[in-house]
Amino acid sequence: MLSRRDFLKLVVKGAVLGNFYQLIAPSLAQAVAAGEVKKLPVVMIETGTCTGDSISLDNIWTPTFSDILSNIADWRYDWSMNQAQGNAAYRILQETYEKMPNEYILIVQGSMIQRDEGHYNHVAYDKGKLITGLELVRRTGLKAKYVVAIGSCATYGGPVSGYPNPSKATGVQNILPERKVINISGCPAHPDWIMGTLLHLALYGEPELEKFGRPKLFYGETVHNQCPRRRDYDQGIFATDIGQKECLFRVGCKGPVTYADCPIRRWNDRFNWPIGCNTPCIGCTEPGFPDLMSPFTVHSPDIPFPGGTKASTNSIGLGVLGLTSVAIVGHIATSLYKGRIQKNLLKSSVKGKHRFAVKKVKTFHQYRVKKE
Amino acid sequence: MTILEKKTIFPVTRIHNPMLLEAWLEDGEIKDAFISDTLYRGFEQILLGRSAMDMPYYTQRICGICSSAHAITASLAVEQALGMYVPPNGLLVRNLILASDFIQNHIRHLYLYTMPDYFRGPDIAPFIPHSESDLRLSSKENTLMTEHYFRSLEVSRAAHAAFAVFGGKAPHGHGIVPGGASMEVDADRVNRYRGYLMEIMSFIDDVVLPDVTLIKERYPEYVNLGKGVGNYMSVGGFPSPEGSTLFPQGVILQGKRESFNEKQVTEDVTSAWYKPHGPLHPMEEDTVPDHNQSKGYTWVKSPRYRGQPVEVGPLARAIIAKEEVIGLGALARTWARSLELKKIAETALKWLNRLEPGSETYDGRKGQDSGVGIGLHEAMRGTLGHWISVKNGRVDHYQIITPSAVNFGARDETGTRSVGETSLLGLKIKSEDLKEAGRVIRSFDPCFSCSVHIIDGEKLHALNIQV
Repeated sequence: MLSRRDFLKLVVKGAVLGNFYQLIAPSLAQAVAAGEVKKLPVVMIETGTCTGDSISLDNIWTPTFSDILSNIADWRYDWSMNQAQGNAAYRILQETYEKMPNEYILIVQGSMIQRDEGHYNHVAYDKGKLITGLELVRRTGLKAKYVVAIGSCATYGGPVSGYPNPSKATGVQNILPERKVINISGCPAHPDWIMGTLLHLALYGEPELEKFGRPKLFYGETVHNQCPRRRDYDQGIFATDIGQKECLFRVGCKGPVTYADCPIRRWNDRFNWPIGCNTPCIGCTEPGFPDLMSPFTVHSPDIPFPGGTKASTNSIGLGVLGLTSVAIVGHIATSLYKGRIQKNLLKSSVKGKHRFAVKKVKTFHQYRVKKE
Repeated sequence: MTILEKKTIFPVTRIHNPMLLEAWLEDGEIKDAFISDTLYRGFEQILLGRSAMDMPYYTQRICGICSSAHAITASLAVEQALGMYVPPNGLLVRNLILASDFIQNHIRHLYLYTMPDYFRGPDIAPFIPHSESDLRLSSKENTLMTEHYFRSLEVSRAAHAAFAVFGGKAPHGHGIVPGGASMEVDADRVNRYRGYLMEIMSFIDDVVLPDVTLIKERYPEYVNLGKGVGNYMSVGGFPSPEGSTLFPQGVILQGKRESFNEKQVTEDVTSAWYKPHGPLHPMEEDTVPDHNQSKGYTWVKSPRYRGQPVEVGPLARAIIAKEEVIGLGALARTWARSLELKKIAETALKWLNRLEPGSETYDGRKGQDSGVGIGLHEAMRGTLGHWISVKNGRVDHYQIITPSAVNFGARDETGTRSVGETSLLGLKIKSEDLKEAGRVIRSFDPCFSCSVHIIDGEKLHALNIQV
């Protein structure tokens, strides 16, 4: 069987070459044949979601979905795919968590709707009683082998949790503090990120996670650092409007604060991606998306830095060659690390009295976005 | 008083987001039906105060399977509000993005959501447990259908790849912005799109149309089972640079054809969980969730055209366009959807040939900072409308009417049922699991992601239904 180290190499190689699964398939087939790995029992619960992550997963190029269903995963409960309906469908879920505790992987798609104790989101009938998404995720989550949250909504609340958050939506980790949740963020999450993590779980167990609970192999580097337009940024060549070929920083690009491998992995048959489409990255993989990242397409006029300094995006555009750029990049890096830039971006961009911050809380992943 | 038997399906699977169906039966026949959406997210409230230019991106997050339709409709609304202009090339690129999303949605809906009602899948999850009742295909046909099921996944994936050629990524693309499309046009991209389109078109001709014909032959009664209310609406869509649209605009009320007037659209919240008010035009109404609204049973508002429920979707579009339809029931909807698929793919090829490499696709100039705009466009499931008011570049008012709300809204103040609830009346149920009702519901391609809703179990049962 492949060693974990080799697997990680193949993931990176697969991102570049676009044949991630073909690289892994032979050794995976071997491992399955040798009985080293079992077909992954998977249940997917959809809560406050747009189903975008299911659709994104359907877009997976390698492996194909027929591969996944026949060779990799035992895709047990997923209400957008189950043939049975009503109680017959719900019974599969019930059987899984009663008879296979600590064996199955729970995938949660969609934010946890907390308003009115979760009664704004019912997902099934259990013994004649309506049960909420919140309750179901807690019940199945506590017995699962791994809990995987996919998409911005399930990881950190996502667009549904945007101000004023009428449904009191939040991420899965916040309602399952006793479990470590593996976060695969993104709006939607890239199919490779989801499948890559599932394969890693099947073959080697838990992948290495960064501070927001995301697998480092996909979220280890910022979009900015791998961006093909990085050279323009360094030389101070900026686009003034959407649709131009230069660096989109001044049109609101959140690449510098967004961790994802979009620039090398790319989307849908690996041809294009948001910046390749001449539009700014909107930071959909980050905690605090969308509030900390909006406005998406207009950069806030000033970036307030710690210590009272304000740098206007114009000055970044004019004189970034040399020291200034180093200083600003340095500032961004520090601010980013400490969560300041998100706070500042938001302060200057969202109207109203509400303010957001990244707050330390006691869960497995240290930082949560918290409304003050 | 007859005693009715209550049967409930929850969750109704193979649709987007939770749907609860409560059917009241007498001697195996559905006499009354309630359809509820049990999820509330409140997008209309979240959008307030945000930058108007962000609306195409933010509203896409309402629905993951028809994201580009929301993007286009929001762009249309913002463009009208801020006085923006779309270059002809931009219009065509936007049409191409939406066309590929239509193709993706129709293929996925057909195979992933509709077909499993009519064939027996392989013995692997998620097909097990099988729904065994009323299966009429031979084992050879079942195998073939399973093969097509998996192939459809690859073809719809190719459709999304075509989306990404001009849209950046799919779902939740980036290419559609107020003022046009952000992606420039060059030969490489045109060829790439064409490549995907060719694969899709041969799949439509060789697989989709024969499969739908087979199902229609084996289940002939479903062509007319599950009729709607007889009213149909389409607001048109896919404008060409000359001003004509691929889908014509129009309304049919009680058999009488008339032109569409945006002023006649209202939303009623009598039976939905909102602060009660009379029927209001989307420009005037608000969205205030009210959990204690005693008559409520769902969080879908009830959109009406001149006070009447109307059906929207591919079948309605075909009727409005005076195209031939095979009936008005469940499989007639599926049939209309598959023909529309072919029509859109063929037209996309024409648009592709009209693209001018190198000429502009985007114009960022704005006429003003504040204004009012209405975006109306046909989405995959039917009419989609965005009503926006912008003040100093920020959203001041935002209301959305989605196709699934039009088809599956709550009862209005006169107690009139929505199209979806009406279509179930009189349906004879033979199967244990209400499969027949599922077939009819899924033919509408319901998607409750877009509606904003909740249900309270206790209150629902307290509803006094006497026949």
